[in-house]
Amino acid sequence: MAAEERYPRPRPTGLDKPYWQALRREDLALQACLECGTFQWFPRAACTSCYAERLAWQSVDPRGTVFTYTVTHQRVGFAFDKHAPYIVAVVEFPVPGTVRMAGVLRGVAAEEVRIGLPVRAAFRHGGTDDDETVLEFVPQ
Amino acid sequence: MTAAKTAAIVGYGETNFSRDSTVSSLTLNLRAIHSALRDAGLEPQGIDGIIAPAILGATIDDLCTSLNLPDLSFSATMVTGGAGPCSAIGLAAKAVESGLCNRVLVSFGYNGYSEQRLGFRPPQIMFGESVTYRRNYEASGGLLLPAQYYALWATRYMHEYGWKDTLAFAAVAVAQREYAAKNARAMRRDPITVADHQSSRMISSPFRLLDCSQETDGAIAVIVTRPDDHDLAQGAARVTVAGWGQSKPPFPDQSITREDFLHSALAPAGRRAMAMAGVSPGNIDFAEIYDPFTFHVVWQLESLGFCPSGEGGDFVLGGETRLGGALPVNTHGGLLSEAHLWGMNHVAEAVRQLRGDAGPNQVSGAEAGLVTGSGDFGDGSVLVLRRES
Repeated sequence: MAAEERYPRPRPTGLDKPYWQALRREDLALQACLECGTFQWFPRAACTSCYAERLAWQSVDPRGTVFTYTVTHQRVGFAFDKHAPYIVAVVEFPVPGTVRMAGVLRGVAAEEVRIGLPVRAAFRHGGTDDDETVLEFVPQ
Repeated sequence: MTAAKTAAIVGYGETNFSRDSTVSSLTLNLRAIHSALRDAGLEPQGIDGIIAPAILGATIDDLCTSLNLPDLSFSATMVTGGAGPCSAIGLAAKAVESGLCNRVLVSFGYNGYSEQRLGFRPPQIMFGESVTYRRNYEASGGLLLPAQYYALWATRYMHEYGWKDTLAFAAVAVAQREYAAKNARAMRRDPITVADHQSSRMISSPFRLLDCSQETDGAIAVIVTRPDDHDLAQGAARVTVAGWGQSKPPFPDQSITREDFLHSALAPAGRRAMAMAGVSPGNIDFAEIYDPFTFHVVWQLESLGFCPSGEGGDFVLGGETRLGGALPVNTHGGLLSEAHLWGMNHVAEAVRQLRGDAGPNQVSGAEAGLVTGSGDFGDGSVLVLRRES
């Protein structure tokens, strides 16, 4: 398959495997510290607030708001190009700690997107069993 | 005469800048290095330290072998992206001032267009957890290009300061192109207007084509010596490394979840560099500011204290960065219009300005200049260079 036909493929690590398993169930799970209760993203080896290694993956409310975004027209060499221009949004989730996640925001016109727009997690399932489900966003 | 206490840049050399060098990145480096050695009046064997400002292009071992150096007593490689050149020069100054070595070569060269398009970050510049971060939490979500990362900052900045248009970005692009038009080395020299900027093709909002730097094949080398180096050709023009500061932002491996998303490491880096040099923004005669995208110039003018927060746009719209303005900026055309040599071309231009060799873009009476470097996820490094009195 030509590069332009496929999406970049994540490779789950020993650390983030539960995140990818949750996405396959259409569930958004984040790393939470069992000592201080802080959520964190990206996944880390230990809590960046209290340094505890006792972390667990917990499902969270999949609703957040657009913190910043860009509408991409430039070719990137992956299947995103077929949908250009497309919106890449950074979405903030109201959990303890600073959690912002990047993903494609669909279902809203490029001229309608704005900071503060309420959105929720959406899920793009891969074409084969080997493909991970990837996080996207849609308006609430 | 009392001995100077501060290290000095005593030579620089560069290749021409193109999109089709037809030679290897190592050959580009060697051409720039021999040019720098001639400029300094030195033989290769006079070099006993090398700092690589980035992990692209030639390695220290490549250069040590090619120059047949018998006993390199100091070497280091910077891994801070576009902050690397300023950090390499600053560290070179400290290495010679402390006696670790006498003369340090800092060289950067690559085929940034014909071999490895810089606009798509090459995977070999990533290490450690960064590989997973880029692939699993950014690329899978459509976040792949440097233009997108900087656009996310620009969108948020424009929101926080209530910007309704990108005319200030246009002012940066037009001002730098005016300098480049008078710079024979520059790759983009055709004059542009604000209208050209506003109608150029959208890359990733708010950035249009004319907001983006270019990709270049080329090399630049600089030689830093200890203050009391008397073996150099008499009359060699010296530019002292008067101040250096750097800073890593919180969460330096990514930008999007940084609590203060618009935190700029250039602010503390600039304060440290100016404190070391004993100067304030008002004493700086010109600045060569790392400019992968127009927005980054506006943002740094504020971070460095050349204007208050939120007023960088007015500063450039008012013409203050042009020749004759309060602070001429990127007097060679910058990464936007001269070439993208990882910011080494900013160091080279500062040396020309302080030697009085900047031709039509010479800032009259230039005594002190500031140079910045910035890495993609927020590393900052700042130099204050001075004409030796």
